[in-house]
Amino acid sequence: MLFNSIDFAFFLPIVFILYWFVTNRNLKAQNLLLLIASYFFYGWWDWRCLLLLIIISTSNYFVGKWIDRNDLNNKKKIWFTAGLVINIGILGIFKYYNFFVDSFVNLISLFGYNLSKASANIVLPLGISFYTFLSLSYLIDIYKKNLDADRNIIEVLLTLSFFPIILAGPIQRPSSLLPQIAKKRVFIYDQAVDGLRQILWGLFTKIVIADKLALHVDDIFHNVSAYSGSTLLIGIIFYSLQIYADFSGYSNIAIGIGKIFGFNLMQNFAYPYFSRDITEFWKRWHISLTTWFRDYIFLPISFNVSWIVKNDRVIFIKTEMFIYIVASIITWFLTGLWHGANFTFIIWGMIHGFFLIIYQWQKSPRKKLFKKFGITNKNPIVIIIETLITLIIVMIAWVFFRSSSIHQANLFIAGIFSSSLFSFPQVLPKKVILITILFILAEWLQRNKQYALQVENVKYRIVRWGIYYGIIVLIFLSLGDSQQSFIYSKF
Amino acid sequence: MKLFIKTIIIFCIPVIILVGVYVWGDPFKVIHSYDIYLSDYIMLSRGYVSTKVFLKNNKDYHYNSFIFGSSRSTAFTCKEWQKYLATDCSAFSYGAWNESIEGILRKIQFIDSMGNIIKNAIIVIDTDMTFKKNNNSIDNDHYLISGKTFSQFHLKYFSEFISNFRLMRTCVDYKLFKTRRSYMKDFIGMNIGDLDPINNDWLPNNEDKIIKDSVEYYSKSINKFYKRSKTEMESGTQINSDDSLKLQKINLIFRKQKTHAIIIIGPLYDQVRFNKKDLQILQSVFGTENIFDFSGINDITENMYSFSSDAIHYRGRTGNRILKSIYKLPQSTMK
Repeated sequence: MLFNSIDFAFFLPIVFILYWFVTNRNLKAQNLLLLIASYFFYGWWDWRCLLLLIIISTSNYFVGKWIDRNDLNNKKKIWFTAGLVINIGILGIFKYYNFFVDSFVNLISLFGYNLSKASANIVLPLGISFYTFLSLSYLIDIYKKNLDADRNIIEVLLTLSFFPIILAGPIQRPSSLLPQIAKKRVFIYDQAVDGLRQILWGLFTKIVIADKLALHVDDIFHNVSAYSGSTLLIGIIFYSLQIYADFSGYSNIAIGIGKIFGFNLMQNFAYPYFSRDITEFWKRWHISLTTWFRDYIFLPISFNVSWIVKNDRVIFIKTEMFIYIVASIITWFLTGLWHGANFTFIIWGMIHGFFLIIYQWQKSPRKKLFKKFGITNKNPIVIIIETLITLIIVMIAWVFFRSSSIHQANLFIAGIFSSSLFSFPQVLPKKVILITILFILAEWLQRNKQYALQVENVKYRIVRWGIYYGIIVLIFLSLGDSQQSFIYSKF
Repeated sequence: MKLFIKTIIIFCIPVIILVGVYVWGDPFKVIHSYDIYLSDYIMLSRGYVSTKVFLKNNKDYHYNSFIFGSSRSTAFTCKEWQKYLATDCSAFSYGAWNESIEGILRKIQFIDSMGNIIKNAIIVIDTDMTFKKNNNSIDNDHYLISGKTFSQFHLKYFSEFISNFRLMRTCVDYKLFKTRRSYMKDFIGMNIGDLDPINNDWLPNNEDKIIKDSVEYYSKSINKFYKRSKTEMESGTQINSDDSLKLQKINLIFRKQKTHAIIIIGPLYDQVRFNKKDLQILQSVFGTENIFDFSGINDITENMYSFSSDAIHYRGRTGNRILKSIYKLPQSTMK
């Protein structure tokens, strides 16, 4: 079931009514209801994948218990390893099997051996990357004793399959969600209204902005060689906005739903395109994933490498920098791979890794240079230039993310930097551009809020409601176009 | 909680009213079922109506002969075609406005999936429409054909309804007072034809006027019949690998069903000849003997009276003439 479908428009009020009016006096019943609703929500798409979700979450519950129970002996490590193998193994089979087999066969063929490809017709379960990461956090946190495994099974299963976040996050750590599930929720009017407002904004960004842009993006990316450089540039600007509107829209809806059920889910986006450097961008984009990789991959690798390397320098590089480079390369390789079984995603990840390393490397010389020329960090021209450079890096990386192959991405970039960049674009949808500019303006004006439609401080109800109705009308007007699934739910 | 529910209800009132008006007025006739789909209210989606009529009558009439194509295919009526078919044949006109090859394929697949026998089929191909890229006419089709979900289908029509304030106003005003007002002219009183409730034939109501006084009738739109070049032009190649695959899928069903299929390339006023390479593809898929090309310069296209006053569609009598020539001669001689 998708958030932007009619089915969901019926599903949500029914669950809401049962949750607050029927099961409100009994926490266990409320949690059970949410679990059933979550399974129904997920199974609506494919019941076979629901079975997989149930198997994964149940096995994680028991593995977690066994890790906890064997805290004082060697078996703890064995159970933990078994848990990691189960989760990563399932993710590997369902998401990466064909990719690895095909890559291996291609690699072998370079040495003159021809193996027949054994690609399998495997259905990719929606949101598998998200819920396996939830499960991994659950086990790691238990292993590190940050989380108590002695819990009610319903609470754990609900944590690992909570319907607002199951398809595309935010990857709400069990250490933060479990306590909320275990505690009685109280209905708070302001929180619920804020939740509805956030859902409305999420639907707007998805349906009115992302889906409209998608029509042009799909066309441009399918016909790269037919379009001029200027049109390709429009295409990548559109895609950058589309993926942001799509994914932040999903996150806003998920967080909003959480709010109306009395939960506080973590913010996943904080106006990332207004970042002035690549590090800041990653502090504002897909925050739940970035912090996941930081805590479970980047920091442990840095820590382990720092234990191994005892010298001040490694191959003329300061040890501190060397550790950063090693940890970044591995983290960003995995981040790319997490997004999809294609070399384009790996390259996308490595581009970001590369520029993060560059950024880290230039920090000190930049500081000295600024000091020498008396430039302050708050200089508006510097801010604008740095923001634009960050945007260009991010957009070039998006070309790889969106392209179906590296060849297509190269063609796209070569096309942009051709002489036709200065011709008049072949695609210039005025209405879409106008509404997108208004969207960016709203985001800029409200950049200090959690989301752009947080207008509860507007004094007059008529103005507030006028804004809401205006957005609803725009959503209805855009519903006629073909309904698109959320980009990140495919990961 | 009470305050929350109260606020939600008050907030939703305008939306509920809007949805209520849409369901009550049903301007596109997609909410309720109708015995007869008249088109004097607004221009309905013929693709949708075709499937509705098919589903409604199929059990009683066991359709086994079908006409596929765009609005131009309406020149071929089941009533006329039936004359050339065996007595056990039951014909149905399964067309859609601006029909594409995708739409034709989906309809054939749908009929096949319903377990119907397809004894005979006419596919009417338009030089300028059937293989046109970005032809999204299937979006307006029945959700069983377009592949959309039930909700996506209705959202599309609802969105069209609320995007047109005059249509909303017309819907309420006309429903309540049954009076035609000048501002309604885009939606009411089009009255350009009816759809046969059984075989879905399009019955245009201008034919009587043309027969009565064709000179007078055509004089009003004489500027549409521009002067054409004496040299025959050929259309560019249109059938790509995707289209070719669709044609093969159609033929696969026809072969499975042992269908006697006729592919008619319709006559157009612009006298542009259907592309030779495209023609060869059609011939290789369906067999040369089953392709009847009426495009280009020929007796039919030379005569302006073969066409309706819009110069875009050919008349029913033209369709009758084509059918007659096809069933008289195994291969077209109209070169």
